[in-house]
Amino acid sequence: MKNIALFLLDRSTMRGITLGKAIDKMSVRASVHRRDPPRGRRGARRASPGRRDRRRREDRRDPLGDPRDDGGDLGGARPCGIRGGRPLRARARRLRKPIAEHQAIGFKLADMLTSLHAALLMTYQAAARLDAGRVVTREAAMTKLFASRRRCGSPTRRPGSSRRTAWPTSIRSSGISGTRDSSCPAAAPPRSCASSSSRSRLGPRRGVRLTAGRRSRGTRPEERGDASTRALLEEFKVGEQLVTGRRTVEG
Amino acid sequence: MITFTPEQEQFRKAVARFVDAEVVPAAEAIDERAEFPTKLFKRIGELGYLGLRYPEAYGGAGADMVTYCLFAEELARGSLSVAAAAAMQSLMGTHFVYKHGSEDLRRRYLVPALRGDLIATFALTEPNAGSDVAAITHAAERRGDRYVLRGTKTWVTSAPVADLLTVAAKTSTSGA
Repeated sequence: MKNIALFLLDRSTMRGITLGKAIDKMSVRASVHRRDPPRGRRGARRASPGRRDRRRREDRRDPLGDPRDDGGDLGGARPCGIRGGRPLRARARRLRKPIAEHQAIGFKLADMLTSLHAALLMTYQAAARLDAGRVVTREAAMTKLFASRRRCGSPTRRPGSSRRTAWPTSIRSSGISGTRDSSCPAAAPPRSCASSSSRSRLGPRRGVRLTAGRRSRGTRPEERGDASTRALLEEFKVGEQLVTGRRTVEG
Repeated sequence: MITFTPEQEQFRKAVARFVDAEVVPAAEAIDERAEFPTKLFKRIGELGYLGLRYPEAYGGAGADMVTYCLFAEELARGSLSVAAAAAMQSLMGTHFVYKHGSEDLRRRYLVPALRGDLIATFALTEPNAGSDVAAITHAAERRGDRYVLRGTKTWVTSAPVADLLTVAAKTSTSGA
């Protein structure tokens, strides 16, 4: 890449950097990945078993539970806390038994743990090879690909597939909570984990809306309601005003 | 087979204690408020975790990558938000300053960043190019003794609060 250069921009001395609106990402906010997110702990309490008037909110949620409710051990959006206290899957009941005892839930949990463990092994192997002075371009790329596609916890089985995964005895006997604390691989964080809180210090959704080019009315992604595309417009811009900046290039 | 040295295991336990004591109790509130974890970030810098991968001359610890992974794994167990911010700070956000910056730049930016006083990030991804470096369109045009950057970046970790940005841009439109 002969014509690609890196520029160091110091926000305290440079002008012309325009911030877009913060992106409301999934995962880093624990579980907000829908238009009408559950309200965390309160939602979990309302979802306590045996209370009819408390079931509606739970019914709207992910059948595997809100990751925030159980130490982050179930939702694919926050897979880094497999261990936990008493997770939702053990507390909540469906069809007169804890959801953890349903076979379908067991399949998913087994898939998630397997993916997590594999991602962890790949990460540490790549790290160890790097420490040994070896080139790890391929290993690092494969690790990132695996960890981000699987999101460290989404099912390895395609939806609708008839292939079943055995429920490992070790997982069943340990109740998951006692298993190793698998976490997101650090060197290659999954895509859902790779972003931090791109939020203002002063609170969420603060910032200037980006005006990046002109589009005809009605064709903007936010007007089409495409969430993923809409998020792309929430960005920051390095613009024309930089001409007047006192310092533009360093290093 | 993953095997850790006794020092690495000890390090993991130390990080785990910190995470259990200071990160886990604050994690939910951070995500609820959707705020950058400024205090925790600063605290992590004070403990020296942001400089794990850098030489001691710049305030780092000179640790290996496996040790860093242990840190990141434990931190992510407590809060993904904090872990992501710390990862950006201690890896890509400061890597290029250390790797390619002059001694003056390192002293001015790297040292305070490893203490947690400066928030650094890396801006590569673009709306139309993703993270495909060859396809980026962010232009850097030379005007006299300075460059003018023109373009848009997206998915920039910690962008709203970042003090220092390493921005990838094209200095010409021909060639690759």
